[in-house]
Amino acid sequence: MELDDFKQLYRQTIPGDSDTRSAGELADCMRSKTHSITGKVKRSILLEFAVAVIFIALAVWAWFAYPSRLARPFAMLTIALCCIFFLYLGALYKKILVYEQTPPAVKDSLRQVITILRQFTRLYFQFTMISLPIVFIFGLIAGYLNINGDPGIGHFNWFRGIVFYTIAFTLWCIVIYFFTRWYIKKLYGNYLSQLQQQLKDIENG
Amino acid sequence: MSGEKDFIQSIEQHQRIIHKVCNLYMNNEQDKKDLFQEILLGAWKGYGNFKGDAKFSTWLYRVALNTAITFYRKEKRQIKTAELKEQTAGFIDNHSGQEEQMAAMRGAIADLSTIDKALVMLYLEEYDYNEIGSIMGISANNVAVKMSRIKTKLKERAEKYL
Repeated sequence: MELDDFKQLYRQTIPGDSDTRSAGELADCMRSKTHSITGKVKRSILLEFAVAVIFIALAVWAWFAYPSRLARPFAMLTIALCCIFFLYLGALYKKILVYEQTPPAVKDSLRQVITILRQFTRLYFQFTMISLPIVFIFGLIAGYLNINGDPGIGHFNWFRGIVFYTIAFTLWCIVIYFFTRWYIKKLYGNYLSQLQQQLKDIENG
Repeated sequence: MSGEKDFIQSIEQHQRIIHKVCNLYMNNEQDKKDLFQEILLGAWKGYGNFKGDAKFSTWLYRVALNTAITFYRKEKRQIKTAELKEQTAGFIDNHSGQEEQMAAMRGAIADLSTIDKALVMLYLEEYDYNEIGSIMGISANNVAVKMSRIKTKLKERAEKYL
């Protein structure tokens, strides 16, 4: 059988309306939560927004709780980075809204979803990595302030302390680096490969 | 709320399109329901920008296919192609003649890639190559080339089922 023969028979035997939903059922369906990939990324962006707000609040608290010369530049750096993060996330969020509101042709849709996912995963990875030196500096400052301010601690070997801290932190960074890469790949890796394959299929020929 | 009312009314009239796309891409009942809901939500989000310069059915096909092709779902719920082949073979064993050939063709369509399935669906719905091209985002010539390849592929595959 050829596809054109099938087409004739298919047109004659279009299935019945057993699945038909009423207006009420359709309205209920419209109020449920979306599980689309763009909806998922949007929820993740909102979560990242919330985390950035918490970081800003902590930085403001540190500004007042540790009125030292060391703590304040750290607080400012944290706030500045969170603001940059806000801008990038906001731009990505807006891009998703535009995509959702103006459904493009299938090829463009694939391209846009791939771009959105790539940008989101890159942003997530870059900011995770950028936060590491900030946490390193914060740990160093907090350690210095605690040790200096505690009369119970006698002579402290700063050189050995800093070397130990640096080695431990470097190991932690290596773990975070590989974990983040694995986590992103686990979440979106296979899905992105599928989308890229589909884009290749539509572009070829 | 009249926007919502209009939208629901239009969907009520054209929901067959959504069901067809769900049946084409999903085998599991739960996945079909999930995809139906996603297509509906996607259509509702874009409805505000639907200017009526294309037919509602064409616009809905575009939204439905976009959603189905980029649908994100857990791997474990997908029915593997081997299972589909078994189902088709089982059907063919119990039927004869035209039904058998129809089942073989349906099995061959189910084996196609995601993009080829979309092209076949639009072709079966009697869209011309220009319209298919506009929904898929490719030229009419490109659609013609792809359809010619798909037809050959389907003929060979359907014969294998028989």
